[in-house]
Amino acid sequence: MNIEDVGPHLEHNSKRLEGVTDIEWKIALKKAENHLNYRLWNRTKYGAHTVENLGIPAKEYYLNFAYMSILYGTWQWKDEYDLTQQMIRIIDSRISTVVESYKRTIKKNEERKKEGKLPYTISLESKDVETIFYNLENDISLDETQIKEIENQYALLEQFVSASEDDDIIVFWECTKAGLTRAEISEYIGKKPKQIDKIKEKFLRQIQKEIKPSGK
Amino acid sequence: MENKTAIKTLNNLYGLLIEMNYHKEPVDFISDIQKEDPFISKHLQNVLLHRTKTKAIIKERKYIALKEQFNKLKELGLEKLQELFPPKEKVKMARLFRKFEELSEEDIKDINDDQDFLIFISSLKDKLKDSDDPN
Repeated sequence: MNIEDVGPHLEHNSKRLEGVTDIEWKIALKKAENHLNYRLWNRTKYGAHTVENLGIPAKEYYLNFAYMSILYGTWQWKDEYDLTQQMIRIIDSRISTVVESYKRTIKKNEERKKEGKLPYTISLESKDVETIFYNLENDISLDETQIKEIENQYALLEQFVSASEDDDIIVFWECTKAGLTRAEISEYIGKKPKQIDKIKEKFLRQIQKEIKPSGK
Repeated sequence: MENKTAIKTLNNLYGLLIEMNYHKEPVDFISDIQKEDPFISKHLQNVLLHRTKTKAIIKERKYIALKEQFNKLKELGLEKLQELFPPKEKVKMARLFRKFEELSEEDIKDINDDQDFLIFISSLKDKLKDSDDPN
């Protein structure tokens, strides 16, 4: 899709954008950037979200795609969402589309290899880390470097939590391991979701040196 | 097995961070956005640039649509258009009808911001549609 093309929601979106200040734009961009940092964790070195596949760094690509889609009206800015929510929805949808299309190309390339033909894109190797993270139950082997990277990060976190004497940090990590959502943690600990967010901020602040989100 | 635990836990962690970021109130971002951030500044500049471009596109599209409407109405002729209105209304609209008659295609750009005249053109279009509609 050519992003410069004007979409059917141009006028509608433009009317809503009239009320958006620069500060609101900055907040929306920052929130969408955070979303991408977490969403693209460990996913930009191999597979669908590499520069080889997208042409530019993944974070630039998806952020740009989201706001251009709203500005040029190729996506409707729905009344029930604020600017950030709409941007995040566009980003997530685009990520799924890119992953699906990447998987299709990989499959086609494998078929072409079997037929003795050259693959469509030489850079598309079958190192699809995506498959693992989009479907954890999938039993697909990662290469050694990737496994080592994940294990190192995990070990650092375990080490950090074991050394911590802060109950909030310890419980937060246990809840994360158990796969609890924000609301579930809130119920389990007996604190409001906003207080859980504060614990998360504390957790992140303290492990900042150990965890550096990818996608930058 | 250990690999699976590591992958699953880190995936849980990032899933949780995504959820918490989604629920974070705009006011809690104020201190973040006050810091110097070349990435955000670059994208904000891009947003503002394309906002200006899209505004220009909208204006241009409005102009093209208006020109089309105007040409269609001109083809019908002033007399026929005046017949669509009851005499009292016709008198009230004399000024706008005069303007319509004197207006050429080149002048349309200037009337793009003339709200009274735009409403008048739109009412001519509606009247015409009503008179064509047998119901």
